[in-house]
Amino acid sequence: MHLFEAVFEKHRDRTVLVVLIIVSLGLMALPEPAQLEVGRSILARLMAPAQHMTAVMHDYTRVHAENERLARMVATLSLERERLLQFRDERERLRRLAEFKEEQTRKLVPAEVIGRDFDRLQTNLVIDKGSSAGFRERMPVLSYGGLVGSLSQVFENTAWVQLLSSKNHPVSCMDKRSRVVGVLEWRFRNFFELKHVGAVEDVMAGDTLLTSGFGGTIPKGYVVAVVTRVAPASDGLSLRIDARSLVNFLALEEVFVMTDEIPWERSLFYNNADTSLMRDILLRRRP
Amino acid sequence: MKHITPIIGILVYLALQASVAHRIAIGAVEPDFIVVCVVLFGLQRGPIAGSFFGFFVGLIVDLANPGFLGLNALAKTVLGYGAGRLGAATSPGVVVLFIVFFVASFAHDIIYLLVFMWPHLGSALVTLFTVGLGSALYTAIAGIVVERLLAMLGARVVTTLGQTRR
Repeated sequence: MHLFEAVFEKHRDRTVLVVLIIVSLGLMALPEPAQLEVGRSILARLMAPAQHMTAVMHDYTRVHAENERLARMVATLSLERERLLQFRDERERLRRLAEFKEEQTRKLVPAEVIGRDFDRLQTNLVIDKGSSAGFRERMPVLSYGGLVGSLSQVFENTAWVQLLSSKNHPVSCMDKRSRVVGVLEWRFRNFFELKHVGAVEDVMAGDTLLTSGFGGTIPKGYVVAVVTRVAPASDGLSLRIDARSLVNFLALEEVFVMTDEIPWERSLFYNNADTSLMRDILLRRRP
Repeated sequence: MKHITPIIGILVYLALQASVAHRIAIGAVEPDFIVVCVVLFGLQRGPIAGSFFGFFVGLIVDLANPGFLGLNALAKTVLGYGAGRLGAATSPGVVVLFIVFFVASFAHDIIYLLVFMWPHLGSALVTLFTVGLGSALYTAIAGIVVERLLAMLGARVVTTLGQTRR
């Protein structure tokens, strides 16, 4: 031991050299998979802070780019909104001249899903608002993905929602593109079939199905489903049209109940939207 | 600061090697800034620090090609040790420094190629004389340029082997 210490003291630099050479040779003697493993392990430890910094920088760059893109979008949408408001006013004037019935929109009241019935297929939901919130039976219910169903029973502070995913809740629908009308019936989960559409009608996969407004219960123009497949039916006279709702009926947590009709002019979205941010962005981007 | 400077140095020389060396290459011959880095460090800090520095720099270089993990560490450890020993023993001057860089680069290539191409020694020798000599010359020139640039920037450099000044 003393000899080793003496040699180390006398030849410290050479000892270090020999040790490092042995370590290097040891690394070289490792089998290739082990070398790769050691390499990756050391590299991962060494590069972690740099990678973290890179990720932060990348994130900053991404957010910056996204912000630029969104600012452009807001500016474009703001201009588009102004144009649409002018169209709306013009349309209203023309409708009045033609003595059409004044078109109205509906107020959407949010409600939280607080329960489900015990049926395995979950055809009914319980929501936390009822007649005290102005709800009445057969009022349409929507979610972010489109039409969900309608109120089947209303109590003072709760209500039952009968979902579209139920055998006894067909909805009259219209193809948004071709205006072809049919009756949408539930098949399973969120898959539906549009029935009573003639074989010569123009319906294509990817078309959006909207409520037709026929029957007067559910107003016209709300998204219900998207056509997934169109094929001739076995009878040769009609089309077999499969559609899929964008609503996940098994995971609904909040819905909106359409209540009273209000004129478009009183609509919060069109007239009371906060446009100050849009104005700021537009001014900032002006050359 | 004593420990930060070598790390910054390594990063700068690695960046030089990765981004500049191949742009100023003449055919297959290009300067080795990492060798310059290890030699300058060894000359300034002595054989022990030089050996450790060479080992770690070599290991970092090896990580880019873990199939030969340890090869650069071995070659650069020897280089750092040699430069450190030399720094404590010999006389100053640009010509000597040029020779030191040249010999260091060539010695590095000898160790590297002999191990890398073992047992095909013929191929190793051909590569050594077709590429190694030119690279050693280019590295020596690059080393002198770097050393002078550092001196102009007021950095701590090797002006006399065995002594340093600001």
